Amino acid sequence: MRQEAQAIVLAAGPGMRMTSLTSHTPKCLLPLGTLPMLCYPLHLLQQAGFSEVSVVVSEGQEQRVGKMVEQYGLKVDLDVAVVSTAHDPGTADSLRQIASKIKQRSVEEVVVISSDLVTDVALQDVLDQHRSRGADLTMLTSPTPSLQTTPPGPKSKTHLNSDIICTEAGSGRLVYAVAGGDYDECVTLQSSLLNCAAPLLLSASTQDAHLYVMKRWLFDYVLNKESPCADMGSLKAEILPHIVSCQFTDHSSNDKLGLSGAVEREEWDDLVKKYNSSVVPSRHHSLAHLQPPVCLTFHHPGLCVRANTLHTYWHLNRKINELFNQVYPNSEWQLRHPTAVIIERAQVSEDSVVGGGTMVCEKTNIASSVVGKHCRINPLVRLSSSVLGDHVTLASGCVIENSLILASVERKCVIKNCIVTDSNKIEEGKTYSGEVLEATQDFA
Amino acid sequence: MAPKAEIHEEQVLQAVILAQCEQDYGDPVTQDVPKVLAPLANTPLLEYSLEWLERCGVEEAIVYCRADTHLETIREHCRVAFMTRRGDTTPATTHPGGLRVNVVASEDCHSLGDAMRDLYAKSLLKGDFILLQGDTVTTLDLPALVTEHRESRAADRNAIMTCRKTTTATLLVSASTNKLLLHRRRGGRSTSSRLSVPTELLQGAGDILAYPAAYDPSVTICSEVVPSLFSDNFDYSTLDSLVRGVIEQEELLGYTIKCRVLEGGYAGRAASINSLIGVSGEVVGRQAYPLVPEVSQTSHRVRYHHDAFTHTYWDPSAKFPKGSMVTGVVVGAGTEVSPTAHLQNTTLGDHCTLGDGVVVRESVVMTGVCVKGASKLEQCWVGDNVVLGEGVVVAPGCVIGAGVTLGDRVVLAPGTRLSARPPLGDLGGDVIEPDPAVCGVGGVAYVVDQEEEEEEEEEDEEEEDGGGGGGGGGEMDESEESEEEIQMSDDEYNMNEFQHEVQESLSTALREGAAAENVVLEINASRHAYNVSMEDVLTSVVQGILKAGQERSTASKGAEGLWPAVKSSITAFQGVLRNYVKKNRDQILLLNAVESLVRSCPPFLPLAKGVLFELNQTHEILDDEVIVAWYRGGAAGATSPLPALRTALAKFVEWLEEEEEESEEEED
Repeated sequence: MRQEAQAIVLAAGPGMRMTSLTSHTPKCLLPLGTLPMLCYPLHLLQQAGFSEVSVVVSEGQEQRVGKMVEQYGLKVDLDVAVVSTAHDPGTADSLRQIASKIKQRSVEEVVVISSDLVTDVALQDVLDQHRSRGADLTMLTSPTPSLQTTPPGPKSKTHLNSDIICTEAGSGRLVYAVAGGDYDECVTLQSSLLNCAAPLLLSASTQDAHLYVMKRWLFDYVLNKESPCADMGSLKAEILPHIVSCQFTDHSSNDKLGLSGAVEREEWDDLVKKYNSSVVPSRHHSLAHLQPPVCLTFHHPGLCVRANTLHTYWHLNRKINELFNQVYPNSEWQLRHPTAVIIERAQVSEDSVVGGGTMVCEKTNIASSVVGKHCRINPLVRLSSSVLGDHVTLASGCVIENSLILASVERKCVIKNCIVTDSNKIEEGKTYSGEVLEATQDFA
Repeated sequence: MAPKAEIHEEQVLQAVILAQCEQDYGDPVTQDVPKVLAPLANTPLLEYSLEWLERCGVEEAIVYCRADTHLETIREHCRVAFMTRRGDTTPATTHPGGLRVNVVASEDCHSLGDAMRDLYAKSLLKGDFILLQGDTVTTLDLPALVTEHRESRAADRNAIMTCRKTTTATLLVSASTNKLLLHRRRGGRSTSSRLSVPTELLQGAGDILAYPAAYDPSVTICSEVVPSLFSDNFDYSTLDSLVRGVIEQEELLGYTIKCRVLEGGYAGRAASINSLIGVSGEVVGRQAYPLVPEVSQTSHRVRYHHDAFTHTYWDPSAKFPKGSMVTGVVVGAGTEVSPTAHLQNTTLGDHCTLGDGVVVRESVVMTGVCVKGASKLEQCWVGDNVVLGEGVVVAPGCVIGAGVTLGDRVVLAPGTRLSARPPLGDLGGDVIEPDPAVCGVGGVAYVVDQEEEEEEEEEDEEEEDGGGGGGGGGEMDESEESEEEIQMSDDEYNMNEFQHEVQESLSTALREGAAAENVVLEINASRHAYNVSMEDVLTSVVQGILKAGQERSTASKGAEGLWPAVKSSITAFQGVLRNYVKKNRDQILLLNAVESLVRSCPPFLPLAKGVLFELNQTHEILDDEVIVAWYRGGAAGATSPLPALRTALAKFVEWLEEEEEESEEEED
């Protein structure tokens, strides 16, 4: 069956905003609930009827990602592409990596989605709007989530600026977008925008959810070696603003750098005939040029969180119990897995999540926590408001509060507000608070 | 029109109409008639705002004007108009419910700020008041706005103004509170055409609605604080400067300005003659309904017949052809128009005579005008008792003052202003005779000094560029500064900056003898900074090299040394050029760049041949075939935009061709 749209999941991100976690596990495989993060966008695509999905992962992850479908009962065929991490690849490099595969398929639209997106949006609605309104690019936007939880680890002061998105009031047409961190004291709107009659809605409380639907020609343009996008690294921070601004570029002064130029070039002798005088050669292109792209936003007021920072990641994990059915509907996967062994005398609160193959021993108390797969919670452990990864063993008598534990805690201790990624860092009987316990390189 | 509103307030609702403070229509119009009494669809402008204010329940209107020759005219007009409005001759003050009009004048009133300070000193303003310009035609729902203003004041004592905008200002308005965050009038030397939004605002105020092109009808509801603010700060000369000051010093003063953006209603300002014609067209087109031409604004009686198909209005005593030749026209009493005349969007005053085959488009013709056969008038102002001979052609933008007589077949250039009075400077001297070259045989007209008018002309054009769209439609008002305005798009702006930088780099390099690689590096850096295409880079480099030579020459020997200097510049930068000229296409671009330079800088014309020779023969950057192809391909034919360049190059190209043939022959 021919697919109308091709889905690409960008899962090669190094997780620069949560390095304390990603030094240990690649970002797309970080546990969220009891599932790896990548499952959420895959499931979203599956729900929208995609049977084939291309996933771009960083080197070395292809095996684990390839097995994921089977492991977690997903019904999509994965086509895994690998991008080398040697040169710090951007999202656009990931796309280029997969370009040759996409080129052979005759799809109308390309859906590009980030591996860290957790949302309850109906992707079909986005596609429908994209098609019905004849958009060339549709961007999913949502209100910036308000996070009430405090993530573990040392208090971070750096607050990331939010995206600024400017749409035409009423039509939702995207006229300007700048990623958080890409602006200083001022954002500058192009003069061509100022000639439109409709008011513009500037918002810092709306975020770009990093889900884009692109028309095929636009996608080809982005990947075209001659387009100005060729030396851009980031889809969100560079290519997207470029496309958005192309909407309003005056095509009479549009030169070879523009959209039209990349598609069509003229021989010099034709130029001679037509433009021997001081006429700008590119003026001709406005006659035969492609329509400027139409960029729209699809605003989803519901749940839409990108787990790309420690804060959002933590928030999602803590709330996954409530949100799971929303963001992962119609799935056989259960948060409290049937293969988990919970001894009767253990207390596990209703709002806790326990993964498959996990053993919870007696006299333990688990409250509001997420316990991954194949964990072993030894007796007398008190675990509250915490998140455990897979294959984590907690020594008996441990007291853990509001912490993220991705490695076994083999000695009895008290851990509060910490991130643990290395078990060797834990010493018997100590109390840790507000720290990151990770493997450090030994220079000795 | 909004129904007569009952605003039950103990305080008297006042309005201030600024009759003359802003810029006027320029001579000779202002010599003949004060701006506020200029006719719009044969009704003085002032009547529109008075009518609107009265209908909206305003009790007192202060008409504020400069004490000059027109003061008495305005005063008399207001008095008489009010009697007719009441239908009797009793003084208006005996009718408690109606609108009282108070004409206030001052000797030295040059700006809105002066007016406000004066009114403050005279303490004529008691509470909230409405501030508008005398050239406003509007049907906005004022009572609703006043109520809104009062509510917002009740909620926040510091909200001092409510402006409504229905296209000249860029506004940023907080989506939730309607608070005005940024106000910038477009154009003007200091402001660029781009809009920079401080992100601080976004973080603090939530979502922001940006109205990039809001039309400002200059209607403002002010609280009593406003005049005192003007008095406190003498820098405030216009409302804009006050608005800017209040926003900038919010923390210090604590005042805020609310802004209401209206979707419906009509508002237009006849700030210039062009916009007067525009607003007139809209009133005639019934966009300002119920302010329509057939009803007299003073007596509320129907004065004209009306044809709804063609939007034509005429006095019963007027004789004119009704049909498809006449559309959007107001014809005054006793006017006679020939059946073969062609009228479009024009207002004719009383007792005019238009001869056979006269064409009048988008013009204002005052009373007693006589236009003889086959004349053509377009977008112009024709004052009282003007007589135009046969076959006169009046180009757009002309103003013909009252009493001017033009002979047969006079052609007026666009933007000409004529007056029947001789220029002031010659009053003491002999009576100078009208120049027949200007006004034809038997004409009486003097050209009014153009200096000032030209500027206005430019502003008018600007208006038209930026206009269109906007809820209320209508014309835009003009910026205060009558400076020459430069508006550039992003690309142009970048391009200009880039060219400037390239020029700088090249000049410095030439002075200091820098290596080609370094110059290329510098240019490439600029290129990336301004995101300029390779084509534009090449163009800028070529022109930069030639100009750098020119700079050198003027520094040393003047015009004489131009060619040697340019030649040495070319030699110095041949390496740079080589870097940019790679393909045949680039050579063509290079040639085009030279051509456009010659076009903009005529001193380079004699040099063109030499430049091409150098590039072709000495440095071999240009190929013979390319030059010939370029020359034959486009510079040929009558369409060539620059015949001079063509002739200058003819010999050289011929020589090239010959040489080519010779070499071919040799090969054979």
